[in-house]
Amino acid sequence: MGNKFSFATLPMLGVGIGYRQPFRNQLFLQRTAIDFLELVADHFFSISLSSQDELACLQRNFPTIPHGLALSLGSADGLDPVYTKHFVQLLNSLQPAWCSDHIAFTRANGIDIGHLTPLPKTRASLRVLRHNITAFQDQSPIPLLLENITEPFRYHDDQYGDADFLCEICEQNNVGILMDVTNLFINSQNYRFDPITFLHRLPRERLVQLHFVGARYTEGQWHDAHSTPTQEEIWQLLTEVVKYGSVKGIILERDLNIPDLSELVPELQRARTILEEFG
Amino acid sequence: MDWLFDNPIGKMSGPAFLTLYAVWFIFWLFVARYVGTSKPASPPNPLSIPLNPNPFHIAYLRGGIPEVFRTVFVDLVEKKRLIEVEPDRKLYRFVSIPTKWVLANPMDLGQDLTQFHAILINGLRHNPCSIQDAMMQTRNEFARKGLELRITLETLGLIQNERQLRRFQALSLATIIGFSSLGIYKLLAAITHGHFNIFLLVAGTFVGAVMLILVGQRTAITERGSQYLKDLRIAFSALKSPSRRRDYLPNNVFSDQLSPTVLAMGIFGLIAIQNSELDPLLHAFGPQGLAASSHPTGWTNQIASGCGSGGCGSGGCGSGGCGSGGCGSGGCGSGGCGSGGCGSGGCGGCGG
Repeated sequence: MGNKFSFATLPMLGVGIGYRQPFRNQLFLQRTAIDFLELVADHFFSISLSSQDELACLQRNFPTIPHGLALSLGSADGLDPVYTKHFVQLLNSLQPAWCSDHIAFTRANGIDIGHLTPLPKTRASLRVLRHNITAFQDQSPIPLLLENITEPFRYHDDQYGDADFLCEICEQNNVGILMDVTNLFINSQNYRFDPITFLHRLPRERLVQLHFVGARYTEGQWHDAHSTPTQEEIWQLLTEVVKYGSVKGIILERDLNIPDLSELVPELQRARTILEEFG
Repeated sequence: MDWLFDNPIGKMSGPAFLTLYAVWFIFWLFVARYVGTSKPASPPNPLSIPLNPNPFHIAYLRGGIPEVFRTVFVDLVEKKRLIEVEPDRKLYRFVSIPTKWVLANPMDLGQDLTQFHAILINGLRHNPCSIQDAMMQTRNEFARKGLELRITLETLGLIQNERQLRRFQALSLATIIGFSSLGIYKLLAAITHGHFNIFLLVAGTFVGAVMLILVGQRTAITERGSQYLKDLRIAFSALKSPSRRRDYLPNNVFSDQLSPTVLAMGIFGLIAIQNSELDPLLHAFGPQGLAASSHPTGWTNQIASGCGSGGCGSGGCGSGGCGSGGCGSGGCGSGGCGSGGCGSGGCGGCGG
């Protein structure tokens, strides 16, 4: 069912935040600044009553999009049936406009790596992705977006360029793109490529959602720390992505050094202005 | 007419009938429980949390007028518009007297606040009085103003409306009639057969009916209302803790007019001021007030209808009024129908 989907029909969700529990206390006081929430799916697999109540409360008050961390679509040994079952159950209960995970693997030979690990950009990886994405789409009709990750290393036997690999994934599986603008910025800086050229090779109708947050520069490398305000270069890149793509939602992601939500409101407002002006 | 009373039930012996009656009671107990726990129908779509939650609406939803009174009182104390009057320790050295409260500024009309504040300020204008006295003095006016809150909440589908209330009362009554019909029939059969040892039957029927009323009590709040309250508790969970309330800065919700404490009072009741600088107020409201106020969805149809929306403090109409002490096991316990009361020849107490 997922394979027949057209991304042009997805609703416009606006600007929101990646929901983390410390935000909850201010969430409802700042709701004019938040159009929707992205929930880390893994946090709501628990069947505990408080977790379910929290989920139901969020769902009743905001449009919610689940974002998986460990579907591990790049694992050669296939999807983890337990994780996939939980994810699909969550999708069935939320009925979101779309869901997302990463172009990465987090598990190999049944061992959890505990980190989003980049895939070699090869035909074999594409086959693995296709197999796993199809298996997932067979279980859920909710449109799937895949997110680009930061690459702490690259493989020397890559057969595709960055943009070509992403295009192939999209075309072969009819998935959308969750463009992490910060990750794009970091990779472009660390591996010295032009992010705009990369961007313009992607299918624009599939650029559905964006992530952004500040990046951190240490020891000659940029890192994705999810802990700082967004830098000006990232704002500029975000504007370019919004201009080029058909963006339906932008999420600010903060996981560390979490400030009072009110301190993030100016960033959300700025993203909203960009989306309204160029989206 | 012989068949009416000359049948297996009409002629059943006392102990056998009491056993049957007990089973019959248990059946109706389940029916009453089902009727009581079923939430009144409400709009299926949930109500989302508003941008500016009104603590007085929420307090009314949670516990009716008594909760609105408590919230307003705490708000006035926090705003330092009501101050405590120290009792004369020389006069009352050995006697515990309730704390009295007085307006900090006797010219205060409370017009910059809500109408509920103005009612309370007006009620306290002349003499210092205790919380209980203030509640008594202002109850009628609170009830009148509370009607507006009630209509708003009914319109939003958060509490049951008159039609739902009447339907519930009819169901409740049908449960009691259903249960007692067998007892009344047996009573008539016993009298027809010349058996006048019917004390246990009458008492059992009375106690059973009261228990069905208690078990069948239903909160006035609808499914939508309780979901809304639950969401508020989750969304503002941090407000429950006084230390974390200090982190809330004035913003689009909180201002000089609405403090985090008042919203916390609206959502959580008196428990929200426990361990805060307002803690002494808890003693003034008393343990009964704290217990009633902190009940998640405290009010029942009896409060909503029978006691009048204003007149009944939640302590007065809570479980204390008709609780297990009055009609519990002591009145009609196993002793009444034990070996002493029910002889082997026939049940002394139930007309058998």
